[in-house]
Amino acid sequence: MRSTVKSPASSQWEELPLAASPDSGQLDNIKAHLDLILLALEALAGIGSEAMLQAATDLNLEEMISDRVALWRLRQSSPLRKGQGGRKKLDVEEARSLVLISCHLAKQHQELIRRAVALLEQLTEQNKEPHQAALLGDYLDKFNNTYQERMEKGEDTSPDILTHLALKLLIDLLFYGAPGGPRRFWLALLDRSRDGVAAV
Amino acid sequence: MPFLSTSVLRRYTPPTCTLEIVAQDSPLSRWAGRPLLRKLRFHLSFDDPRLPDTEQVSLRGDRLQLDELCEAVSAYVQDFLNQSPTLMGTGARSSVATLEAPPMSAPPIDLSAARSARSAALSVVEPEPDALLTDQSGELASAAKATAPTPLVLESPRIFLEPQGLLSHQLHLGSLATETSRSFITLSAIQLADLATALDEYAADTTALPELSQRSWAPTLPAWAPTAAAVLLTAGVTAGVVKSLDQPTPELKTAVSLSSPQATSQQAMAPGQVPTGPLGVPAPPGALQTVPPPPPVGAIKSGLPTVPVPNTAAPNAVALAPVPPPPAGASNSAAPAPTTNQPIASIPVESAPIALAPPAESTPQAEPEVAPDTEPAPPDPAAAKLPTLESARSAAPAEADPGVNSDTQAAQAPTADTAAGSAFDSIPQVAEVRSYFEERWQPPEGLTQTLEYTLLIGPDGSIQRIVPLGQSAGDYIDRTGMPLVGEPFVTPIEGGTSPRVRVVLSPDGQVRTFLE
Repeated sequence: MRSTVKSPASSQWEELPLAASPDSGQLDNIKAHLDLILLALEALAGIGSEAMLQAATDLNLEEMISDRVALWRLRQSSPLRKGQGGRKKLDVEEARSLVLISCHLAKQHQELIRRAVALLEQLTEQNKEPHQAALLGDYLDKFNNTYQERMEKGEDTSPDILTHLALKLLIDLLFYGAPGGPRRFWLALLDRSRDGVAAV
Repeated sequence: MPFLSTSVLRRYTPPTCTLEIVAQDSPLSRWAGRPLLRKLRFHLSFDDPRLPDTEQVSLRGDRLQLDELCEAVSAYVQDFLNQSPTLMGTGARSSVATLEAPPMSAPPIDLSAARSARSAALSVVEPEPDALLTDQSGELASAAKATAPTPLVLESPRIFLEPQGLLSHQLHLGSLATETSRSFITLSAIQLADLATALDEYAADTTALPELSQRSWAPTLPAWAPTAAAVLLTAGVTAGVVKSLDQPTPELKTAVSLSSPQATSQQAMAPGQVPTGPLGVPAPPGALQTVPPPPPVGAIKSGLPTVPVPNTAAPNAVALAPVPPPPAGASNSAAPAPTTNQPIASIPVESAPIALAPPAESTPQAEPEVAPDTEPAPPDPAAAKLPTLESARSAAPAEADPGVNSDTQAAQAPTADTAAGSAFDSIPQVAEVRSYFEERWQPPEGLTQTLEYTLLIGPDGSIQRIVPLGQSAGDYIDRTGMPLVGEPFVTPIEGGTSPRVRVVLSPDGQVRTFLE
């Protein structure tokens, strides 16, 4: 029986179904992608851990992600990350929390995301490089730099691949910031875990 | 095709497109005590500021097409998101930059009869072919010219999307295309996201609504309303058919003589076709149930047929029976006097369109117009819309025999029925209850279901009892702003009765109330 008073978080979780628990390998893929989406948000909107923690509070998810260290540990669980120090297992509830937080932030910064995508469309139409628009250029630079800084083998990854990854994530954010975003993101994560795509 | 007395049920307006769900009010609404809607349709326009007004793309269609569009867009978007960035690998930059339209492939053709029937029924407002191009595209323009002349109306292919790099997406219009339009339009990433948002919101509403209409609205309709509908329907049909066919006034013919024309016209129909009622409109059990017994004068009021009526109704039903078993059963059950409960079965017919319910049947334009379309007293508009004259013709004799009396009954019917219903109808307290909840109802976040309560109101206007209907209604009762039992609530009831009022609170903030 459903309780009368529910936290918003738990009701939102109903949108994020899970047919079967992912195994640890699948969770690895999920963790990697969650970290990347947050990285894209960081690079585009200058979102830091403060804003992410605030989002957790807004969503009544403080219990899941109480402080900076907890957040760092969750993100550090990405298998792409350098160093082993913070790595821990990410359970399903934590993954859901990060999905909700990412989409919440994408929604908050929807205007910016739309503007960036519109610029990208415009430049592409004119056969120009995305870097020619300051907003996109800054985003791509920041994404690339941060990626290389944080990720294992980051320096070895070609800038073209990183640019494409960044642009794809940018367009994805356009959809994740929409009302059905969390569900779409969640399903995409589960799908990704099926395909077993782990790393760039 | 103009929408007559169309009301917009929902409007979704993300920045680059507008989706409107529209329907016509049914004249039956007066008797039902709530809005009955028919002919649910949608109107989707893409608002691109870069294009002049005359070139804006605009699509229209029915509910089935909208659902098809929803599925196509939703699946495509999810697929797009599912693509792992890694899969794009080295081709990345070039795929973003690619604007070239790939070789046009002919859209898959679906020759299903239902679809082509549907496409014939729809109207699409289309601008010049060029206008359909969004932005980029010399190549697309030429591609467009190549595909434009393709005749699409007869084939009615499915609706689907196709990627053109990361940033542009071709929406193939399928059955939404017209002869004059192109078979696809190109959407930018932002347009696609907005379209997905609008369709998502629509889809979210449809999941909230069907429950409302099918399960819970049904029992709340006054028991006499379907009778009124039946009487009106019969009268209207009879008058219309008699006039339009200009046949000699049928006297009380025997059922035997009636059955032959019916049988032939039924045979002419495709075997798998949805059973049709007197007007050539598919007749769900409920509709048939209400139609057959047009009581002779004097029997109108309670809907209790006199003995001879069932007798004539039953043979008619038998004549129909060989084709569709369900109506036969329904008609038989209608032969005995309809109890107050029986009319309820007919409600889903009318409420289906309101519900935006996922389509249950495959015949396209059938269900929205079923009952409502047939009931208007001046029959000409209704008759004009009849799908086939033959089915109308076949209905003519069937309806005509009691119809001798029906013209006079038509005049009497409303008064008789309002008299029957007035004891409980339109008491001001129903509106008071509604405005009470309209002020207080704030849908809790995460609520997806409709909440329903039956309130028993005492003669003094206080609540005597609150009955939550269903689990969630119980769970959420403390968040509805429900007054306490015994608390003064509405103005005292005249005549000292204790009415029961149904309150329906929707997740979208809507409040409905009606008398049980």
